[in-house]
Amino acid sequence: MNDAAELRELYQQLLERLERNEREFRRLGRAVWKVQEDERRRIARDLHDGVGQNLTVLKHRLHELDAALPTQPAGLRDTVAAALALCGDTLEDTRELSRLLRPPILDDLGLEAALRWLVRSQSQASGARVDLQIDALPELDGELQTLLFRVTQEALTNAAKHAAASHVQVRLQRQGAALSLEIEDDGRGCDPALALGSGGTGLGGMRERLRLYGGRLHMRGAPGAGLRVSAQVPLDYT
Amino acid sequence: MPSVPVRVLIADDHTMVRESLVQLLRGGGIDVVAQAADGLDTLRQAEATRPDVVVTDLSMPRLSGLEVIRRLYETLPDTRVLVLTMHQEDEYILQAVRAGATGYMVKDSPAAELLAAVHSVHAGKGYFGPQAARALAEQLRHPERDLGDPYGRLTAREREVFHLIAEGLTTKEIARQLSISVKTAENHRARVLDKLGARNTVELVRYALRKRLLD
Repeated sequence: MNDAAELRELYQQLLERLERNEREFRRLGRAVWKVQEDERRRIARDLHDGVGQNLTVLKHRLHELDAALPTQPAGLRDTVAAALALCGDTLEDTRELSRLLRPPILDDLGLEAALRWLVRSQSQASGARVDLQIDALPELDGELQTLLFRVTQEALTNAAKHAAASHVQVRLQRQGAALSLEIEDDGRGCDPALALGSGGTGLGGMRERLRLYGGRLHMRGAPGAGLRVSAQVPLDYT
Repeated sequence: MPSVPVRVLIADDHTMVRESLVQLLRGGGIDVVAQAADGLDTLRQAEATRPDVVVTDLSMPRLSGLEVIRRLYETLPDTRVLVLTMHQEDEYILQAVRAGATGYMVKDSPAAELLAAVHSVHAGKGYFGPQAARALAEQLRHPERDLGDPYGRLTAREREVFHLIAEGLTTKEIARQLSISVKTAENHRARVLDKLGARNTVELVRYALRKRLLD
């Protein structure tokens, strides 16, 4: 074999090794993220179905106590009423914590229902109008559903907290062998390069996550001109 | 003339909640005829005891509460279903109603409300707590907002075909079992896949597993 042929062969081997390493790196990255989401799911369930249900029983017991108490002295009834209110507030906090970690609706009813809930609750919290358009989607595995949910969640949080947008449009559709997600807002905008350079958090972190699934994140916008975040992710990412 | 007590089955996988509910309902003069801790057992017990009302949670092992409601609605049409859950989100409410529930309330509602709900559902009037009523009104106002459960959009026949596909039957076998032509079975199959956004049987089975729709 001459030198050039040997060099080509070596170069080819090097490329193949790089590709293998890249695949392995992505597989490991996805595994780490999956462990993290599984843990969040478990804690969210424990909070919602464990602590939450116990608080519910406690609330029933307090109601019973309240009903059995004589009308006098009033002080005792006030104490039970205060305990009932505290129990109710703690139950609501527990539900909220569970949703913040990982909303049970995502696992119970799937991505479409979870996105509709997310859009509605974000709209109520921020006062912005958020429109959601979802075309008929193919069956998606749990990891892809989580990925798309988290990207949407991050973009909506960004639109509400940093961009103070009054209108956000979310579109999710299939484009051939990939899914396309677009979130466009009319907020104060930003420099996409700066926003994406923010490292492991926010939209920069979402871009890294998408890469692990062979996906891409693009941002288009400028200070004062709103922001358009678009993500494409292949259906067959392995 | 003494009135006959309402016969109720309670389905909840959380023992403490179930016991608390039993105590509460019995205290209110309601006859708790059976209890179940998972979806499949709920169906078995309902079949055996034919209760007037099933009070059920949505999150249950082995078969989800939503699927339990659908099957009860088809097999025991005289049995009313009241959902008693921790979930307040509109999506759960609408899917439960679509599945056949005639009542929906959250678990931490006061005892008197639960008793009133059981009696109301039994009398065929339905019962929806404030949050559920608001969600239903909102859906009536905006019917175009589909809250996304493709399975819920299947017709009764399509659901039958769905389960037969998931059990591994071929189109020919499905046709034979349902006494329909192969062509009709093929049409049903195509519509089921289309509505679920599944490309093939494998995707359909994955969907069924994820939604805990299989026995």
